[in-house]
Amino acid sequence: MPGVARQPFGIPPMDKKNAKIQTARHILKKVLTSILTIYVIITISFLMVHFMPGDVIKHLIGTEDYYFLLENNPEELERVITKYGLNDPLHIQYLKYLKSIATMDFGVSYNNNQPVIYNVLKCCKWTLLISVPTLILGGVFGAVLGIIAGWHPGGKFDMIMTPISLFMNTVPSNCIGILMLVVFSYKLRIFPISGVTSGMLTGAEYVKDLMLHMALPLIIMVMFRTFSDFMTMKSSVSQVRREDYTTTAAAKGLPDRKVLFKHVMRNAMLPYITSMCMQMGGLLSGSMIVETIFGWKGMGQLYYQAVTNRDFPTAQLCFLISAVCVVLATLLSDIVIALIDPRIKEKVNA
Amino acid sequence: MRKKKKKNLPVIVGSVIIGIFIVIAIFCEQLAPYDPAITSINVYQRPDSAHLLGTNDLGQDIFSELIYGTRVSMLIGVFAAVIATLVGTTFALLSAYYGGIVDRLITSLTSLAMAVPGLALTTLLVCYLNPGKLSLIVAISITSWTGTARILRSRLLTLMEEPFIKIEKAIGQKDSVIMFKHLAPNIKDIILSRGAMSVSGAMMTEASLSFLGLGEFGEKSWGSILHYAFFRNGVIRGLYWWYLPPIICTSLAVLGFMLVGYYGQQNK
Repeated sequence: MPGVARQPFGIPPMDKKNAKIQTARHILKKVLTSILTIYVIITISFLMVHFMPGDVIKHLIGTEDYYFLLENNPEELERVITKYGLNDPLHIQYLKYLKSIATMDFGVSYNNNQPVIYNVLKCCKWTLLISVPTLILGGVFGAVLGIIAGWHPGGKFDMIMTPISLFMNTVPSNCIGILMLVVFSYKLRIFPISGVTSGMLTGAEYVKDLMLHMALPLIIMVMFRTFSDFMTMKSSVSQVRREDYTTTAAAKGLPDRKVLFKHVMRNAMLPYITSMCMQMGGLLSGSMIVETIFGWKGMGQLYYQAVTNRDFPTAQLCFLISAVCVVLATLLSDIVIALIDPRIKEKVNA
Repeated sequence: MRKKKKKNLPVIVGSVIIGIFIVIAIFCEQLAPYDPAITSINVYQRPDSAHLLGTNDLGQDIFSELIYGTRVSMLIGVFAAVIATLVGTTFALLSAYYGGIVDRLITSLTSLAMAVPGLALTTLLVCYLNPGKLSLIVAISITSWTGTARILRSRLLTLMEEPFIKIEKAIGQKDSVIMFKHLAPNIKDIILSRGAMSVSGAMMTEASLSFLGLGEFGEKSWGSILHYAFFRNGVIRGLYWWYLPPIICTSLAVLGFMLVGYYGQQNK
């Protein structure tokens, strides 16, 4: 028809500035969502205490203490209930709770009467000491091995690595932890049995001692992470390998290297990047079992001890911190994906 | 499509392992030589003909404990995984297909549930709920459906870009038909592999929780046996007949599900 410009087939190209604004808006939306999520989690952790079966006060001070006080000292029990404000209506309690979180006042630990936040920060350091190397080493090893195996699904390397990693994924971390503890610490006496340091050491000796202590937990965690990342990468690469565009790229005579880096990797990396970002959320809370076995004084062990000792303020703060970490990690993965995946961009802009 | 009748060895091995454990789980009353709850004065006994795997610190027969533990561990693992996979798949299908407000609701629910650290929440829940199998199953499945949902959704979103779905939408095919006849079979292998991962994941979570002393203690699961072996000096004393069998059983059972799920999807 005369006078009507022909529309190009498919999605019309957008001007770049507009696309940038759209992406920024998308990211802003994600940030707001994350803040909302954190708020909801805080609320849930409040409600969880108050709507669980059983009396709240029993959760707070422990069942035995409750009955002990009920029989011997009802006035003291009444005082404790008033102290926690359990006689107030629920919404007042909720507001008080929100206020205490906003002012970073998380109460005092029942175990050692230190402020909870102080205990937690002390433990964070130790957990990060083993979880950050785990993330990096496991991520790199897993990706490299996964690409090699996924490039030739059913090939020799795949045939050897996949059963091994399947097997490694099937051994629960507490089992392998105990086995390694028995072999390397009790039998061979290479590594210390538990704890973080032997104490009374300085300088190079201290570092060496610390390394020896962290060796076993670190080896175990890196091993697990490598094999699970390997599986993620492998399945992602072999999936892309089957796509038509990979066949086309190979059929038009591109060398393997170019097909791998330009076509396969670009697509296969997306799920892997998402997974890596997600794993960052577990930096503080992902090593509970290993920490418990090796007596590593990190967040995991703190949380475990808080739960078993009914040290409620500590358990709650640990829970909140790990939840916030995961929310931030999710936000990170959303942002990264929005920046690099053109398909998501189109969906956002459409 | 041609049907290949090729025997798939890993799947057969996996099925045999699962089968054996299921038989043990069903007939554990007949198989166990002793009642695992009965205590005796023969504590810390070495394995002999009367007690195949010796006795623990309370004089309970470890072999019988192990056999009864099969039932508890399998029950919790399988049920939690089935719930998690069903919920995850349904949410992913609804979310990817309808998009818009449904997608937004489900995605925010998923990211909310994902933002809660799994093992931490499960630990807290098990601690608050009345201890028992049911609360373990609830606590495990409440946190484990999210991975399935998210992965399936992202896969489905790429699938929705495919022409055949667009064509079907254009010719007005019913939503349910597209979802369950055309979308779901396309991600069947991922669902299966995720299902297998869920069983293994649930069994591992159960093992971890029980190992930490938060599991089922009326009827001991494999993890609970390991808990006692570790925290009552079985490991330090080197009583390998106490701590090795639960480790082997847990690993074998999880391996069985992994083999079936993982290699089953490749056999089309």
